[in-house]
Amino acid sequence: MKYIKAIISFFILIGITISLNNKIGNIPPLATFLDPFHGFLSLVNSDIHKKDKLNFEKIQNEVKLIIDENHVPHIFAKNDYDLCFTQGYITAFDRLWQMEFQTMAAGGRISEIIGPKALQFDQYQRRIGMVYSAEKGLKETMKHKGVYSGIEAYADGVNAYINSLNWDQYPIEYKILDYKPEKWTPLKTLLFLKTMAFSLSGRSSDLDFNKLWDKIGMEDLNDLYPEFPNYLDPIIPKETLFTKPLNSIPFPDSLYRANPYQDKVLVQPDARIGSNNWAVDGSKTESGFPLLSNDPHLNLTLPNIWYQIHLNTPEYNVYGASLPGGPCVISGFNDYIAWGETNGGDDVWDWYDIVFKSNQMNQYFYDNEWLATKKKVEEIKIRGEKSFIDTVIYTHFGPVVWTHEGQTKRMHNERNQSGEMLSVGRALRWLAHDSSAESKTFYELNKAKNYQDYVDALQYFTCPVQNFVYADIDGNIAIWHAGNTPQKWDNQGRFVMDGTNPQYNWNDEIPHNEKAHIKNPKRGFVSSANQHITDENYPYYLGPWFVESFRGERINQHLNSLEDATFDDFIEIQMDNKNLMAERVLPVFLSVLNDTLLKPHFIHPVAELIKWDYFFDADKIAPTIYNEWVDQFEKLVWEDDLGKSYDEILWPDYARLEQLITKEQNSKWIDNINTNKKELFSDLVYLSFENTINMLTQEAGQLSELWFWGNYRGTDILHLAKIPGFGVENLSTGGGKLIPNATRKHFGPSWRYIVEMSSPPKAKGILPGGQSGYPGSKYYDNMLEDWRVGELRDINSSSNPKDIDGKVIIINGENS
Amino acid sequence: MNYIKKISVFVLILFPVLYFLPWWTGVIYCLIIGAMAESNKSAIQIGSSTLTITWAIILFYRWVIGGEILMARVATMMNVNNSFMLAIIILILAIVLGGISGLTGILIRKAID
Repeated sequence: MKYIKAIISFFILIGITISLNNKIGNIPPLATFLDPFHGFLSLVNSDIHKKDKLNFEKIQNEVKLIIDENHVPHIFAKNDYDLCFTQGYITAFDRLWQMEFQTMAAGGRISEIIGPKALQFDQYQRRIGMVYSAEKGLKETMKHKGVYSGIEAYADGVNAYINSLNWDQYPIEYKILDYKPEKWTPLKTLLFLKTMAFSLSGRSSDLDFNKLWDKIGMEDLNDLYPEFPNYLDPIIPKETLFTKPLNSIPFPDSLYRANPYQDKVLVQPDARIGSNNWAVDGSKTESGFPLLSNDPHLNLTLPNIWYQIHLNTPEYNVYGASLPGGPCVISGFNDYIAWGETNGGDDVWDWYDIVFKSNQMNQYFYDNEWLATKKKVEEIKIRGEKSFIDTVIYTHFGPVVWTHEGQTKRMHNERNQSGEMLSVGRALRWLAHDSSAESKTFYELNKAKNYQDYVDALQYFTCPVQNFVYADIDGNIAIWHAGNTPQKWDNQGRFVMDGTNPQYNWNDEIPHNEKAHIKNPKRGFVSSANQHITDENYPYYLGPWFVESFRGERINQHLNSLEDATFDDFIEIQMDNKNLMAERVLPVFLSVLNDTLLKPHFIHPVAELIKWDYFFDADKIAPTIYNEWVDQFEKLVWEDDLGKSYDEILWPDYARLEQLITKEQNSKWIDNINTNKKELFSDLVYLSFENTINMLTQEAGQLSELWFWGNYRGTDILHLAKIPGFGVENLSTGGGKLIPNATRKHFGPSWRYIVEMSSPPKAKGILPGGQSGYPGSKYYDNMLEDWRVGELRDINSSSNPKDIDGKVIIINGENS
Repeated sequence: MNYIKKISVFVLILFPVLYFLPWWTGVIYCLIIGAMAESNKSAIQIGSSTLTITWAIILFYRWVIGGEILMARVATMMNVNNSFMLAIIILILAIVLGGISGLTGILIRKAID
């Protein structure tokens, strides 16, 4: 009996020990994680730099690293290698897990961490050629020695940090997900840049447009989705004259019509991802120096997507927001120039129907010839399971994302008179697949001294297309629409294209000097908010879809009237909550209700709307009602004619909806085609209001503080891997879509900064979070409240380290 | 040696062991000290007390020197009310592990005897 007891007890103990030492499903290895010696508690104070001196073999000269009161690193190095090495080291110190996780996601390797549930995502990432794109980018970057050696130095710095860690010191996410960091490589830096390219240019509406073509026909399609909206306030002012290209672009006689129903785009970046930037010249500022502002609107996460950094060598002195994963400053300023980006929105992601000679897909038909495909075998490692092997077919367009096994198409052509049934697939043509070295742009901008340096730097920028705003100490301001958008014929790429016909092939890119730009305009300012770049006068077709002008128009209203501008005026614009669409639409809606007998419980909500000033402030009820009302109205107008929801099929944008509400109240789209009755505009306004009040009452009860915009919508800044407790939820924020303060539920200004181009420049900035990626750090989210209320913190970019207070760390070579 | 003295000595030895080695070495350690106990009850008590006190010392030290925010976040992640509850859970884990280890130790000793 005593043996049995001992054996049972022993095996129970072994069983418990093994299960507590291993990850089971989503549960981390519990004892390993909770062990106060080596588990999560071993990370306490891991955000604090404990040493005053560090030594690394590869450092060539002494580097002074100062960590200031906001946890921003200031690096003073004597050469580029040491600078980039230290940037890599210190970024990894604060953000290692984030850097690696994002590159693993980009490369389709999440299954390695979390198992088979990520397989579909990983397969899609491989199919859209993320790694292929990064590899081509790396090859091109290698041609620019200074840039590539900077990326290598950055990798050395990251690896120096990784090598200094043991299991106890791995960031907490590694402990929760139970894996460890691997060696950083230059390819990871490129993967990170490509994941940004995907976020900013990977949205595709081609399949939607094909479905809409089938559903409503070309005439209505053009009416509901015009290339240029009824009202336009473009980035380059209207009536600007442009040089016409010498040669016209050949286009096909008739438009290819694809079957859009068999494929589903698995990952779509947010439709309203965007940014604001603007600059005013000295005539509009109190100081007489140009002022520049930039706030990129991206997914709000903790850790934040940006990492503030100050880089100094004897050659240059630059400060700004960097991306954790690569060297240089991406949005910032040096002692001579300042710059910042907004997304361009050009259509650089197109689909092509491919016809294969056989099911083996070794050849595809193009320009009356059979061309050979290339095949890339992708091994997707899956945690706890056998690897998944996927063979991705490559054509000259790019990777074939969908192969339709068993599906065929009858082909008639010179080589195939019989019209055989041939296998088909759909290939992706994406500008980010082109050989490019975007890092070179930032490398040059960091060192730029004048306007020409800025223009020269932008020629290396390929994808995603961005609007680079500019200001300098000589008093110049400018904006360039930079990126290698191809010269397309009108509507090229609006629909899925014919991959057998060379007329659908992309042409060369728009020449650099013909890319839309403006320098020192008479109006004294430049600005962009993701709207159309130009009006119809620009000779090149850029794409079917740009963000509505409302946000840009509101910014321009401010800038037009601005005199003696200061930092505070710029902050006021960044935090401006006025919705111009509401200003135009709401009076129309209310006038309809005015003619109707209101139900008793409508009276208070209507009163809130009547007294409203169209500002989406956190402490107002009207924005909540208006926002829901427009959404309900939009649903009633489009759902019956087009499809169930914006997610299912692209609905017309808000500019088109505003046009319908204010000018086309008798439009055929008003009637619900699913009823026998003919609905009138007033019916829809009333019904949508009734639905709104019912819905809000159901969700938030009777009219109360719960209806405040900041409470009802609010903002959640979740952890990057959505780990509960590691994010911040229900922040009371104002702003929203179509508004300069573009704060939404999960998206918003991911970095706000303003710089005055005096000599030396003065600047302020803020992140929605903090510098540290360690959730136990006070620097993890210490800037959040200031960001929420629109406070920007002073930036110290002095080129003299003595002017900067903070913890000083001296870094030397191994033998020093 | 009275009980408190005995536990103190065991904790003093275990602390550096756990500082440098993985958590499961504590299981082996408690298994050994359990084998030296006089009764099953005593083995359980010695094992659980030793491991729990050792864990508690480092837990509260790290909590106090800067672990407040981290404890609160992990508590939310684990869906427990607050940091105090999280600390209790961690210590219960130590009690269970130490207790079972101690009991297993004495049962193995008895089987060999």
